[in-house]
Amino acid sequence: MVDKKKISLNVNGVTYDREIEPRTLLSDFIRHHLDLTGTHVGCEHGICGSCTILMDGLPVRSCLTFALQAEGKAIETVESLDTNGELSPLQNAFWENQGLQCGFCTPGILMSMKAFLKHNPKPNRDEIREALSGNLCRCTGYHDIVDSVVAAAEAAISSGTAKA
Amino acid sequence: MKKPIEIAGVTKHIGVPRKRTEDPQILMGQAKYVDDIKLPGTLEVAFFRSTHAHARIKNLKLDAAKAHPDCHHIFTNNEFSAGATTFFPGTRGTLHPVLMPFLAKDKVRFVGEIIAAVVAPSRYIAEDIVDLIEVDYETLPAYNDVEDAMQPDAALIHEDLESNIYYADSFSNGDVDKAFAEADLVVSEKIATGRTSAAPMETRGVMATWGWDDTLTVWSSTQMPYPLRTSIAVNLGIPEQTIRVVAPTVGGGFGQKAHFFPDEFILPWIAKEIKKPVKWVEDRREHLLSAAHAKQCTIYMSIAFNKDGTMVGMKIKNIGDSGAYSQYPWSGLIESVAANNGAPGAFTVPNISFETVICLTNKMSTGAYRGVGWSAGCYAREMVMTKAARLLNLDIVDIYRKNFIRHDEFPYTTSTNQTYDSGDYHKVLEKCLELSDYASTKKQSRATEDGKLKGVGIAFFVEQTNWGSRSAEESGFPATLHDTTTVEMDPTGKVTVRSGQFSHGQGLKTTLAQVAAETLGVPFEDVVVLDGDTATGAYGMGTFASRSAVIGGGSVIRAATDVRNKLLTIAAHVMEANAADLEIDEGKIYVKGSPDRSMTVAEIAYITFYDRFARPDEDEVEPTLSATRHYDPPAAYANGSHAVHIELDPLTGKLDIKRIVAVEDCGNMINPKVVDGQMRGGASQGLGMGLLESLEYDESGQLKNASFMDFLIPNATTLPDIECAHIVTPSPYTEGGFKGAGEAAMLSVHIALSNALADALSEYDGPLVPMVTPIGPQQVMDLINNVNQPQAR
Repeated sequence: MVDKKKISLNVNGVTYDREIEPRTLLSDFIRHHLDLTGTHVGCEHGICGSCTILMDGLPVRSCLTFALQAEGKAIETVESLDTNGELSPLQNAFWENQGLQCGFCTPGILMSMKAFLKHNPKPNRDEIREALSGNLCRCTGYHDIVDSVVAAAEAAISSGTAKA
Repeated sequence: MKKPIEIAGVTKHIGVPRKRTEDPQILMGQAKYVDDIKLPGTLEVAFFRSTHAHARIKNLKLDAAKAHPDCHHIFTNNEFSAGATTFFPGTRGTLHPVLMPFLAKDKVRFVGEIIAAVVAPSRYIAEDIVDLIEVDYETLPAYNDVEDAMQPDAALIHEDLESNIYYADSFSNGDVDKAFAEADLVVSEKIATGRTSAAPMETRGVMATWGWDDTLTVWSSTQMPYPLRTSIAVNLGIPEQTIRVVAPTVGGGFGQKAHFFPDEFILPWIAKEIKKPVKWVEDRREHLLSAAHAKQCTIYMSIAFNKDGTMVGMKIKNIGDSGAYSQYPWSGLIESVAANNGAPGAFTVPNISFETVICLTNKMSTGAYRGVGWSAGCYAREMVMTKAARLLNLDIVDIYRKNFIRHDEFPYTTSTNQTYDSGDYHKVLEKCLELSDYASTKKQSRATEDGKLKGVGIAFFVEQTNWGSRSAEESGFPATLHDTTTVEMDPTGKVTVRSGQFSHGQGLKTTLAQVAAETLGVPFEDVVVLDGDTATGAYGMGTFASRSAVIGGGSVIRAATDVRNKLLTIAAHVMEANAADLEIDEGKIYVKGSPDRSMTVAEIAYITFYDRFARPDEDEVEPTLSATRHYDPPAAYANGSHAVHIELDPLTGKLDIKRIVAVEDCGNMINPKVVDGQMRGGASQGLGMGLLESLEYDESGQLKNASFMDFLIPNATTLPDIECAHIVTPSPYTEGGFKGAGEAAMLSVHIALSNALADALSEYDGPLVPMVTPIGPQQVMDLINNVNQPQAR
């Protein structure tokens, strides 16, 4: 039997205290210990990007991270994006532009793009494709995702919320 | 043949590029996939799988595993010895049924085959326990190539069969020998299409729980919940009405999840045995090892031409690589049988003969994946046509135009007895040529200033859609496939559509609601579609094979028309008018020409259920507003064209895709945005298959690339934007004039890619035309250097 360790983790602004096996992956911790199942696991070896979350504002593969490594960091998951069921501008741009089909990869893509747009508020299509290249999608062919990210950037600029 | 129903809706919902109702919950991370379903006390399952491709199990050592303190159970074939065979009655030729045990018995036949199932409190611990299991194997010769497995002295993969070939048939129409003897040119090639996987982003998964009342509930990441329910009942001997199958949100399927895999029987059986909820979610390595593979065929294709490019005859031998079993339930026939029966494509081919051979190998079974059969079959035909065009000093476009079925020839019955309903192939091709600047690009120099080579390629497809019984039969599978939908209106006038199909990314909750809203004459927002749960739907075959828009949409039109007619009969009584004079528009019923004489649908619905004084006598008109209708449509064939521009580095073989143009004629579109989504997603998968994807087994039968690190699928930088356009030729036969649209690109875009490669290399001595998929850097350099090309035996 493996000794359990205490962990205290801040996810979406809430601090959770749990006891876990040290080998518990951050993805499994978020999904199965905190029941935040919006973060998905598509490959468990860091390629597909479905499990992408933000750690201190930067995108991280939660399937390649132990939960214990995330102590003291601010974790954000897809569940942090909407406000009581009202979609964020980024989410809304994906809805308007059909930037998803089966939706399994979508939470990871939203988190990657949230961080990307903060870093590059006025991206061109090639820059978006480069930033998306760590997130695999099997349904859309990416075109409509790129349209969605363009629309999100334009919406942010026109509403004056884009950070310089 | 019944004439299609005239849809009477005033406000058009069909044809509107509406946002999808399924999206907000997905975007908020609230959609529940199988692994998101939580039941208290759930145990998790991990499988012990074969590490050998072909071996006898001499000794299975479970003691150490059983001694693990957290080991709840280990199940092997000794505890659960069931299995399934696939048999299509009446299929041409001889079919020897192949038994697929759910847990391996005595022998393993591919790497990844399940030998034992371990039940433990968590997946982590279950995998610890799996690591404690050991087996003594006696290894046997493993077959990677069908042409080795077919040899008379090959070791038998299934010893109850006489050979590793379990199906063979042949077909001939016209005088093929005469056509070949008199032709100006015969081109014969061996074509080898690569083995790939649909690889949906959500792997498969199953959860099952046994209820106190002897009921079984199964959650599965499946495309076909009702047939799975029947199959569980039959294979486990459980009364079907006590089983509920739920397909929650499913993260892509593409045909691969339209099979039944051993785990879909093992998990329910374990739940029944131990009376506890159990769950298994496939990891990506398991997925690439043991979820159905696809597309691998060895094809000998000969086409006879006249000098002007007219095709006068075609001869085909298609050897399908079935893998170790005949994948349940469609069988390992689906690639090669579908390929051969659809061999003429868009062309008049007056004389044709084909042979179909299905052979076992020591690899994962092959099964359905978007464009099943046709991806390989069309590729073989078109690459031979491209080579012929070069030898005849023609462009492939000249051969297309010369041999196309003309728009005034429909309905047209091909030489393989498929009856195409409608289309205008010349118009679609011209549109694609124009949008892709094909002709002007061809006139430019291939060489770029930085030493690259430019190329443009085109392809044209006919897609057999809407797999009901007739489509299936025309493809060589005399199966029975149809669907049922219930449309019901409640006392507040709102509408529930209970479907037997299942949307796992296609947006059916939106598109079927659009069809219901227009047919009934109610606002779109008043319709809800329930699918993916056998407790709330109507028995249907599920969603696969470009069938749901046509069969789902058609059964909605039928059922909604019945409800509408009932509603108007009641309204006519209440409003003292003639039903024939009433119109429904967006929830309002009014007398034609007098919009002020009106009532709402909600008022009439309420009266129907709750006001026996106002409604007609119930002996005259029963006070229900629901209808259940079935649809098994006539076959309908979509068509379209793709163009691809590439830039090739002739020193490395690396190929960059610069432009993709897609033109599609899928008849009337319910939601053009959803159709564009299917076109773009299909193009991505088609180019993945054509450029990148190949599951590589070594000589001992080990899969060398069972991870996304080594098995590459397209990412956002692999592809450029995908330009879409539509030509609309409604099917004259189907309800709504719909044809399917799901698989299109997988019949065509990889051909356009290979044609672009041939074009980029057109100034080399040759002609250099690829005869393999994928065309990665190695295959491109092999083509340039004329080594390792497929050779006839």
